[in-house]
Amino acid sequence: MTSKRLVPALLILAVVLPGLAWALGFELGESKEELKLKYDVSVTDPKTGRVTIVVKIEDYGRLKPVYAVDLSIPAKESHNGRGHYMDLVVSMALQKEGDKDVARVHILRELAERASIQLKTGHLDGKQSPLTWYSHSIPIAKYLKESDEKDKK
Amino acid sequence: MFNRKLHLPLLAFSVIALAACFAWAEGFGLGESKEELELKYDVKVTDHGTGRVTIVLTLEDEGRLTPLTDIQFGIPAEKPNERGSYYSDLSVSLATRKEGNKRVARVHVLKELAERAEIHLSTRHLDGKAEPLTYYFHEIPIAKYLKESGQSKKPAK
Repeated sequence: MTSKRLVPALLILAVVLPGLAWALGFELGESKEELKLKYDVSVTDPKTGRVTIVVKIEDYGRLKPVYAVDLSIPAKESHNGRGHYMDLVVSMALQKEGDKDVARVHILRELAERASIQLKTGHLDGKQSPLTWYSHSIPIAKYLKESDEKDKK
Repeated sequence: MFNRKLHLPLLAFSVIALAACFAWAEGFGLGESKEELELKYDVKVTDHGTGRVTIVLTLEDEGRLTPLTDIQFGIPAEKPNERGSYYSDLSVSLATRKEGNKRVARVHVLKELAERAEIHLSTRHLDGKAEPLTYYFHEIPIAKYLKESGQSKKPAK
């Protein structure tokens, strides 16, 4: 009697649970070159306390197809030592410029210093894993420094 | 001889063509309401009580602005600059996802920034007519929707 009730209940759970499950995201440790990515980031500082960041993506390499190009800014400080809230997360629109996808953002420099651009995909090497996504992170701080060094010259 | 006669007109034409390439499009904020522009959209703000909010724009009909060229999320500076105008603390074009027959854009942002935020629905066409080097935009201030979301939530400790 009990098992007769248990089987339909388990079946219902098996159907409902995957629908409620959250996808797991993994940040990829492999380099731009290892992921066969081709992109270029440039930062322009007009000395107003704001900067313009331009990302030009030529090839999504092993991440094809990418479903989002996000701008993420974690909070300055961790939340009770358990990780960081996000001060900004936004999916950026891409414009086609020749054979490249281009995204632009104009932002306060103090925010840009903590910013990263995430290329997000559900596929790695053309294979899709259910409820899994991967991201390649592009920290902006490095490009801010490069822009500062160019300005000094 | 023939070539010499063409030098001046060719030069003039080149200058005009080059100038047109460098010209900036002028943008005009539309004073007409959402209803007058026949726009159908919905904005929802979720306050997480962490000092951050999530803003969701659901766009059903682009109305008289069809086709939209851009959905821009912008935050003007708190204070005017030395020239009396406002710099932009953030300006970014939003990607949208299709959900049924609607386009949806999401932004997760610090509440103190969201209070100054605006979404601009931009188009080069008004009532189906395009004017060269001109764009129009409908402004959606987020502050109103923040109030609706219930600003009483206190940041989590």
